[in-house]
Amino acid sequence: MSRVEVQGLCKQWGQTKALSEVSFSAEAGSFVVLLGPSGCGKSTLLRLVAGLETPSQGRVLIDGADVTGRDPARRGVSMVFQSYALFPHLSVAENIVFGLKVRRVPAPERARRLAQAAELVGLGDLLARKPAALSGGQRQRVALARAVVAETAVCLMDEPLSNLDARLRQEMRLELKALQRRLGMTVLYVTHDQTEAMSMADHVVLLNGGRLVQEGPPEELYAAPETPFAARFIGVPPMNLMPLSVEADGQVCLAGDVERRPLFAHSLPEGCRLGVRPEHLMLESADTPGQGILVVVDSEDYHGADTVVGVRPGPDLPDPPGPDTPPPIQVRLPGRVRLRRGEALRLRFAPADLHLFGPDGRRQDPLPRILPLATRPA
Amino acid sequence: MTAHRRTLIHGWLLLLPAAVLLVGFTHYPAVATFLDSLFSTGTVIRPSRFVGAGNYRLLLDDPVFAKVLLNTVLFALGTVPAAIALALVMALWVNRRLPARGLVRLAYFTPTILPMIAVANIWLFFYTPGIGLLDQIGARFGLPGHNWLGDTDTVLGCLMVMTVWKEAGFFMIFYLAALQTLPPELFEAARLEGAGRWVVFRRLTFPLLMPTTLFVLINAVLNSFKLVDHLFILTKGGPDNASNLLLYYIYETAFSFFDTAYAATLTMVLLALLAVLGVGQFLLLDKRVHYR
Repeated sequence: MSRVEVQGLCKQWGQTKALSEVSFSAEAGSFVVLLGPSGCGKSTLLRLVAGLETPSQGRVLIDGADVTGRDPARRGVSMVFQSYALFPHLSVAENIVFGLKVRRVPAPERARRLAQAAELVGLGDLLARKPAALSGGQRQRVALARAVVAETAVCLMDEPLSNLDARLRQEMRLELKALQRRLGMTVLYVTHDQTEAMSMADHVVLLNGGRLVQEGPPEELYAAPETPFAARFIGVPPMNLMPLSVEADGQVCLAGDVERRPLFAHSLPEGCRLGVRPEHLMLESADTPGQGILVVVDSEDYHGADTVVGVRPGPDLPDPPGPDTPPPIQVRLPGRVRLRRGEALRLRFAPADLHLFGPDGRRQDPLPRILPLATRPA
Repeated sequence: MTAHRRTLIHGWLLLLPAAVLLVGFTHYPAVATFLDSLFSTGTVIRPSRFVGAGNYRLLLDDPVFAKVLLNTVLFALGTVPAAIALALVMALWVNRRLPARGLVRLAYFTPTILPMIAVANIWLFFYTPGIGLLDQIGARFGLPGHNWLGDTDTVLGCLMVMTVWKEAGFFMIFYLAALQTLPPELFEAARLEGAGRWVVFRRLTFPLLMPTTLFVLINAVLNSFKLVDHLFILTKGGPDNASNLLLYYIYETAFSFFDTAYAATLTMVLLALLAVLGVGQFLLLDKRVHYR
């Protein structure tokens, strides 16, 4: 088990900054996911830890030792590539023991470790095949076995599941996690898929535009996102960020709310946004007097276990929606919900589920006191 | 007329122009050459008559043929591996990040662009005794002058060096193209495993380039049999047939000695040789080549 630490890492190609001042640490034996949209620098970060790129600034430490200038082969890391990087002319067995051969591990030990690794990832009867004769999932396992056989304490994975179909990906998620626990490896895992991050990570490092946005356990990122970006990147469907409007009398209400219900006990600056996850919103019949914000149904999206309903504040739908019309508020309701487009409903939420983002794009914590929605203005 | 027949006729009409050219200039000459090789060369006094394998028996007693065949084999052995090895080394070199990489690549490719006649003239100057480049350099180090192309011991070697110089750049382009299609992750994976340059070349690069090597090898062998241009400029096969190659010998027999039947026989030998080599290379190497 090894601890990986990254301090103030920067990477620049010419004028392009791929990574600026990223610092985090991965505890020994933990599963750390580097999460972010494509082009956010997460792969670059992984390659810097691997030593495949040299940082413009900053240090990489493994078990306290500065390995920034050290050759990739001498850092004690193994890597699983997104494309798997299997050697096409070598059999599965030869692929797996390639590194052991290079490092002149004696043949009997090679055979023992090969058998062990193949057993671990479930490749037993495929060892003589060439990569071209394997399915995507099997190739993925070979790549995994090649990383496992090295018996390094740190394993780097660059979107290893992105080329698999949805079902296989889910299976492999569980397997990977189980494997990591069993071997006690420290895993740095790059992905753009927040579901993978949520389900596998002990610790998530969220990146955007080459900068670290937020890091912490998945529960923390879900429960208390620091920025609107983090709020929307984690969770499916993404969190609703609803613009707030400040009335002439200082009251703050949801932009577009025709009844202008004040939400907070005191005023807020202009440009704040209110965040609520779709799963934390409720819809009620419009007849219920005074219970929540008046909305109309815009769309519905059926997913099997639940239905995501898009609603907009106001008694009428914007027709046609202009470029400045905010996106509909997504509400996730369990089961099959049949609603008519244009139907009027009331939107409700619990104060505990609200997130407030200030005009500077930072989370406002603690939230200002929230007025019960039932109270109508006098 | 049914629609099917109409399509059939349509198809054949489309094929016709290409077929006419192919038959007229490839297939018919090949068959005619084979037939010619079974007859004696006709003269005014003695008309051509059927001799069966007579011409082929003559081959066995022809010392020049034996000499030419040996030269051709030596020429192929001397140029093909050297040209391929040089091409590979150059390709690996210019595939790396170099300053002015484009210029370097162009420089290595230049010999290929030049016509063989021009190349031969350049090298004729290099090899000229006394005033040639080679002798001038030798003179600096106090070496005596040497008639490179006039000496039966050195002439074939001289031709080989020139051919390698000319051919390698062409093959380099194929290797370079192949190298650029190899995914960089493979080499990164090898690097993480601690593979040094030599191991990477031996276990990865070279095996992955095998399809290119096979292609280049077949082309190089065919080329080594087909090249004659330089002989016209440099040696005309001399001295004493020391640099004479099979194709040049065929040319001499047909157009200098006007023994067309014997030339046809030699042509059949060349064709058979090329066919055997081509098929042999495929069969032998195909198992060892990994096509992606």
